[in-house]
Amino acid sequence: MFAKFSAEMAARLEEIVGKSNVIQGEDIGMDFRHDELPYGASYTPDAVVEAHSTEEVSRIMELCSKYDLPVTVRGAGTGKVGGSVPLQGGVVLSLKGMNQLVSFDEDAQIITVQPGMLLQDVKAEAEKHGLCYPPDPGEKTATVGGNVSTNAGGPCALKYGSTKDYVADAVLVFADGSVAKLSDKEEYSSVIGSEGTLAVITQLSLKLIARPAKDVILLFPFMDTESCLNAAAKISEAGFEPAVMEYLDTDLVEFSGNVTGNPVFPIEMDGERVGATLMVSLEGESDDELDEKMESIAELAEELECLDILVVDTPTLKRDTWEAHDAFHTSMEAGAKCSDELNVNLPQENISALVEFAKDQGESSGLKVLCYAHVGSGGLHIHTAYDGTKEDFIPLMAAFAAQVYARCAQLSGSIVGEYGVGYAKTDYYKQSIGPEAYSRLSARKAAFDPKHILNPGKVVI
Amino acid sequence: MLKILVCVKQVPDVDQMRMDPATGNLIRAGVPAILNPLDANALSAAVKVKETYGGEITLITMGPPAAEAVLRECLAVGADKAILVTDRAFGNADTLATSYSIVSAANTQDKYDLIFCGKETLDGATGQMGSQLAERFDAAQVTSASLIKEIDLENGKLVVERELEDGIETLEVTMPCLFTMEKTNYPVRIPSLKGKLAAKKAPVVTITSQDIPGLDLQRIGDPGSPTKVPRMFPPVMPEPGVILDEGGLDATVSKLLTLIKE
Repeated sequence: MFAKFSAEMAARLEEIVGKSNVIQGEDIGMDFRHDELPYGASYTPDAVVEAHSTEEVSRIMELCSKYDLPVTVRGAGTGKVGGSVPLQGGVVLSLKGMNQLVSFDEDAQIITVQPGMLLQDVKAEAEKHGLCYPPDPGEKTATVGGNVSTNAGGPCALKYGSTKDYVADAVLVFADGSVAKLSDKEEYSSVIGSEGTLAVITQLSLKLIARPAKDVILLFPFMDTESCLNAAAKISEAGFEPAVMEYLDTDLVEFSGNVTGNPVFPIEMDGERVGATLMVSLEGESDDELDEKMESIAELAEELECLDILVVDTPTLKRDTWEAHDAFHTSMEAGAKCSDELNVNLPQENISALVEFAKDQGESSGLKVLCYAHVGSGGLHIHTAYDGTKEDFIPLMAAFAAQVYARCAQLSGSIVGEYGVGYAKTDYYKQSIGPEAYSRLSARKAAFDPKHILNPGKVVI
Repeated sequence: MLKILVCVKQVPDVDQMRMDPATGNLIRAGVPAILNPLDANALSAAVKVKETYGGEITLITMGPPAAEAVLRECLAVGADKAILVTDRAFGNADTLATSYSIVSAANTQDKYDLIFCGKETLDGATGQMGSQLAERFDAAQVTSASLIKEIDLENGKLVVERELEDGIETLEVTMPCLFTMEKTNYPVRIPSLKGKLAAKKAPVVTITSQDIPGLDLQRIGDPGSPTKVPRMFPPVMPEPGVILDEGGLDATVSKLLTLIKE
């Protein structure tokens, strides 16, 4: 059991970070009580503590450990599974103010930042030096600390891997306040992707890469999902090494295009409705290299069974295409009375089966199901839209989620997806990984955080 | 056969352009050139007309030799041929000199039934070019056109919609006619790979000041441009707004009142 928050505890926290950095009672804004989990309940912490250094975080954790106070670490609150929501009250440890660039080593291509720096700022800083930070789950106003805590992937994960592949080192503060480096022990690597349940990250050294000189996006429209995903496999097998391969359901791109007024992706070709589009990004060191790749792909066109191949190669069209792609989430929220999303990972060859299953289930329960997937890395986003009331939608969605998660497990998928487990998926997570794996995770949690004060109620409970 | 002319311009990508606050000059170094966005919508409208009624689309642009890139970009989405008006003598032209130069060059190639322009350009944004071209082509003009509804080829008439602030205006016009196009109804077309490869080999006619019989050199380039720009300066940007959320209506209103008093 956790301790009851007291005036004495507040006073001790104020001694560490200053009075203005401890927010209590009615002064705690709504933002600290939820994240972006659709229809997530509101949970009010006893205090929000704004930390600005490793030393402050260490002292806060030492104090909370001593008092048995739960601590929920929070960045920008853009998560979608309730990961930064204080289920048990206690302290919300806000790292949003820890957003400074610490150092930039151009020779080693390493940027060292505080965890509250936004992804878009890390990317911009890298670009200033002609370098690139590839991980990009789409939400660029997320903090990079949040990205590391969920091991965010995104479209580029196909060629460049996920966030964990770019963490060179990190400063960690454990539940008892002790401080270590990620590189000190091998087992500390499990902190990446642990959603704030094992340690607090207070500094990150991230690997950067040289930006590819040239790139082009190709859009392949298909009659249906299956032929689209079959073609994706053929493009991979042919050795084109695309940086991005996205499966885009036409229902989704049409819905999103109508909301944003940016209808980039094909809906019809020669009077026939397109079933799905494959969005492929190719990179190269010169225009000639890209032209050669495109000509080779053109030779494959018949085998791919695509309706056409469209070329997005101007700065304006590329920007429009990525903006249209990155608007899928927000346009669902803006364009539907009720909307939600399931995010899972599964082998490329099984994406089509789960999409078909989800669409059938959605149709029978009155939900409009709209999908897209990062092919190769296997991240599938299943959006739902409903025009009825929230009260009707929530149970329908819960039943739909249970069916889809169960089918996902049968298809060798993982329900963790890119957003993590948070509190929204804990039950499904336990079922999907099985008792042995679950007890290993429980043991690891106990080893890192014996009092279970770090982000209680999340991932492993 | 309908003869269609589409006027396009290569402009700097203003999203990547910065202004030197001290001098007020635009920093153009390293800024890529792009097809003027509204010209892409005008081209889409022209291609739609060609798909529906048949015809031949000719592109025209005035600019440095590098402007050929935007012509090839447009050829890839359905234009048939292109004219590049390029010569140092055409440089530093304002809209008056530019419209004179473009019409003079276009008339050496053909007569056009329909002329499409974007409503305005991203860089100058004067919106003057369409009207000046219409006068010089002796064509009817429909500004802010949003939809080519119907074309009566036999009688040389069209029904066209204009997008106005207070509604849609429907007009009947006779050919030749020039449209300055809104982006509504004509999304930018993405070229096919086949079109892209064909566009690389498509003919682009280059016209210099020497190629236009009877061209008045005092009406082109700098000498032909009465408009002078003595100074440029960045606009004063308003302070960004703040969204208040203090966790409840009363607390938010109270905070608002405090801020107003301050």
